[in-house]
Amino acid sequence: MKLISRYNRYIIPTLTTLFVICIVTSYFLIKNVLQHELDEIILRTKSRIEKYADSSGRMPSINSFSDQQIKFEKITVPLKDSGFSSTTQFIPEQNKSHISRKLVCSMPVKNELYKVTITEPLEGTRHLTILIVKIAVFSIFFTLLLLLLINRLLLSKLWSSFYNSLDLISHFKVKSPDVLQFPESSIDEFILMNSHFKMAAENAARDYQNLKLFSENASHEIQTPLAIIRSKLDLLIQDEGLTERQSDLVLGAYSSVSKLSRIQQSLLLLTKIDNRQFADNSQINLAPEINSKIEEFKELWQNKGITHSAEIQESEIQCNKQLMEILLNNLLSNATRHNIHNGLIKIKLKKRMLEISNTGAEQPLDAERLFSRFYKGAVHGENNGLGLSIVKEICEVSAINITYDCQNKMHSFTMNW
Amino acid sequence: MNLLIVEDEPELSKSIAAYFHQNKFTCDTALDFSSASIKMSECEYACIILDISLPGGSGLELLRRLKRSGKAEGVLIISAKNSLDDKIEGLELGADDYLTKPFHLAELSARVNAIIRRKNFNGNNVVVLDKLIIDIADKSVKTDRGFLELTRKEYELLLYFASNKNRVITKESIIDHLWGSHANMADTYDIIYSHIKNLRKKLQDGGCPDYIISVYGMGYKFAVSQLEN
Repeated sequence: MKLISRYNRYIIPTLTTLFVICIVTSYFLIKNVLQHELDEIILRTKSRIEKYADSSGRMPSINSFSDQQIKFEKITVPLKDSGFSSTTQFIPEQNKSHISRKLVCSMPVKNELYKVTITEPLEGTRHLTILIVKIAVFSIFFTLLLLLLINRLLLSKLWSSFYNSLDLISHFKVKSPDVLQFPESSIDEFILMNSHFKMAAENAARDYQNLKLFSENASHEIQTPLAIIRSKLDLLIQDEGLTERQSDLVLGAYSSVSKLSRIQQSLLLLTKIDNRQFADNSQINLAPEINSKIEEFKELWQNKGITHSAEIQESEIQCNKQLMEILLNNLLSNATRHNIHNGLIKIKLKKRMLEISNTGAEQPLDAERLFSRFYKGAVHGENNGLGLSIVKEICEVSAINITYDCQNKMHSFTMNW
Repeated sequence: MNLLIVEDEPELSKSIAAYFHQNKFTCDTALDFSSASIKMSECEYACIILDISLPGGSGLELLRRLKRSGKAEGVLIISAKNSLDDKIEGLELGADDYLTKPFHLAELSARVNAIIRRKNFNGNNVVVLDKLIIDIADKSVKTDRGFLELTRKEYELLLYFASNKNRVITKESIIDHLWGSHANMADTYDIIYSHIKNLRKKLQDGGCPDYIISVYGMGYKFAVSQLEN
């Protein structure tokens, strides 16, 4: 939910309730005032009647054209329930009843006791109520509308720098060398936020750079000791006096050193691709490249009883030549290594598309983790699990989209560019 | 023949010297820039094995000085940096070859031998190996019974053996030499085996003794009489 919607969600019901409360209160207050006014009128009429009765010794004759109605009745016992009350009064001209105020009181005139009833219709209050409701509804409606408009226009304008910053930070990559340029803002909170974003991004980029430098240096530093170990083992195996047991030990060390140096070379390669050290792209005609790779691999395939089918059309790609060779090598080695005996390798090259598929294990590979470093499938202990992450990395820097799919035991990698 | 090994890591330098010493080379070693510079200007070498990063300066600078003084020694650069730029710069400055650490000593020996052959015979050279006569220019192999029909891989394998005769060569180094490091996988061992088998048979058909001895689990040795050169 957006901040504005959340804000509206609170503010609109609150305001509406407030308005309703105000309307109700003002209705009652106004009604009270009017009623009070009416009661005063009735009291004034009463006092006039009293004055008249005192001076003339009789009740006045009623001759009223107004809606005020006065009635006298002779009574013997003074009234108990005298005072004001609300009632309805029928107005014949309008042919409808009106809410009215009624005063009932007993009044002695000479020796007689009269019951005096004065009623006055509350006609004005009704119009007033309707008017108040109308005003209230309109004011609620317009206020809310205005509020929404303000929120939408003004707030989204105010928040725009916030969204810009968010957008920037969401596209931030530690690998990218560009420094984030946040939009200028005059709002303190946003300035603070931007400066924090900037600091976090810079820290991340710096840490990443350090880490990269470290792994590159580490890779280089490992090379010399590796070279020494390997050279010593090379000399050691020349020794004719080695027993079978010693040979076994040397052999174990030797193959581990080889493995280590391959891992190290792969990691170094990854670092270099990361560092964009293979920047010089050129237009490569893929068909001859792939054909020569097939020639190279043929021997391996024959040995393993693998048949291959190639469907090759002319296709060009903008890529670094060295990287393309590594990419093809890795994919074809993979297709060979993870193949079954008497298996099949299919190579399909079309315009802007290359597909390499091979027979293999029944279970599809874990497509999520397939390209991550040191991922190893279920069986093979020989590979170092870096081949496909190198492939992925090359695809990334060369703007190639690579996908993996497995159907009917055919594992295929498809590249589009 | 004498070699100069310019390498700042004494242990590696010692290993290289020991390996070449067994191959009848005389080895001089230099551990830093200045001693290398002095040795390079004072002596003549068949080949110089040159590390790029040295205490006191860059191996590339040594190479530049060497070429400026008009010396024709073969230079093989060995570097921990597998960087294409370094490689290109080294080769442009006049180095004959470039090898990245870590390398097999057998590979180093093969490369050094190739450089020396190129320098000494100006491309028209013949290697005599007991009963075998290998013509590098024609890529042909002859025995007293006539030419041997070798495939490209078998020829390369034979030449690799020739550069490392009487040395145990590991299967790994053969794979790296013939296929490059990328093709290193278990399947290749079988192929090595079949290549060796074919080469052995062809050599014997050509009237040679069984030169190729398999060394338990490790690799192979091309055994020829020590008197031969």
